[in-house]
Amino acid sequence: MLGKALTQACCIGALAVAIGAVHAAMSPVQLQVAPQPEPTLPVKQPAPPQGPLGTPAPVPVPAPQPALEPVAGGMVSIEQIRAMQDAEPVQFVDARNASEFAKGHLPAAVLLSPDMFAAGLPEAAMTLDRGFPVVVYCTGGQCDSSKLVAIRLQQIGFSRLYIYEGGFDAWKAAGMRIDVPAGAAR
Amino acid sequence: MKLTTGVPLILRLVLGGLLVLSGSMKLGVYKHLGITALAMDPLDFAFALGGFKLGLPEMLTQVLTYAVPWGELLCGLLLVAGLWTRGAAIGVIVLMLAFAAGIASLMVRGIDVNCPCFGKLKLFCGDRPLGWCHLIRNTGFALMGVAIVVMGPGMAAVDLMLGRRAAPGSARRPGEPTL
Repeated sequence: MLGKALTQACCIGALAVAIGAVHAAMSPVQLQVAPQPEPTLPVKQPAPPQGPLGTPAPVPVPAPQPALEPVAGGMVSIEQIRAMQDAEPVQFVDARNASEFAKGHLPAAVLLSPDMFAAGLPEAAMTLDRGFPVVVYCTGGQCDSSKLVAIRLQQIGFSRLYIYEGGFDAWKAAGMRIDVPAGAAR
Repeated sequence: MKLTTGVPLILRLVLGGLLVLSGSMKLGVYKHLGITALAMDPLDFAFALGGFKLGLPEMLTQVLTYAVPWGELLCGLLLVAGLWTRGAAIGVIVLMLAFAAGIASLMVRGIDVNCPCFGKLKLFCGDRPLGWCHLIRNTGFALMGVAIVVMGPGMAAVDLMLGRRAAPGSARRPGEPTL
């Protein structure tokens, strides 16, 4: 009796794997964020220093700046985010859940957790400007929701998407500004 | 309704129904149908699989993203119909043990993964990350599967009808397991 049941179970398993493989081949899920354009990093032109009585001072040779290498797969660091902010407005998307968002988030961040996409395009996504870079983050470390939200945003036409892998925890630890809604416990 | 035939029927319908719901949600059926409360996308389950940090190759993740919900769906439908009942119940036990092992490994490694198990319904364990509650829930499902294996399909099962047809005039009592 048990032998027959085990055979049936194996058949069911094999059938599920076969159907799953065909289904995956027909409509594979997008597991990675597609390659993004490199973050726009501004080239600062320092104002020409003035010598006494308006005479131009000798121009100092600028010290070589460390290059801000873009991280593969659309990942950006705090330094890259700051450099991007110097060039143009950067929009933050918080991919954590609502309760975490309510305790504090990156400046002017929009809450867009993965489950908000279940019913289609969330209203919050419509407040984002596709012309400016969007940086998505979650808690940091091992969380994956920022990548999931970035893929979702990519599917609805956003093209300048970056993921801040350090997330909220690293941002806060670095002493960067965070917005804490009134009434939230600090 | 006799206890020995009624209980397996109830177990089959409850466990099978939950599996059909869970599998079809993971496959994105309700998203296509526009049923918001049950809407879910295969991408959500793919990311939950990735959240286990098992280092699976992308191709295997792709196949598992669909094979697991198809497995749930097949087992669920077979349980509800009472066809290949014991085999389907063993399939459920294997699935639940695999889930339990994955959840236990997450707990040991201290990784928080959100459960896409029943989409927005968040049945039984609410919004919390995978942990003790899910472990206990899956163990409960596995025990239901064990009970079905032990007790057989019970009443109103296709297995029963097939058994009767295969052995006309046999002295089998109604509801007696046929496997």
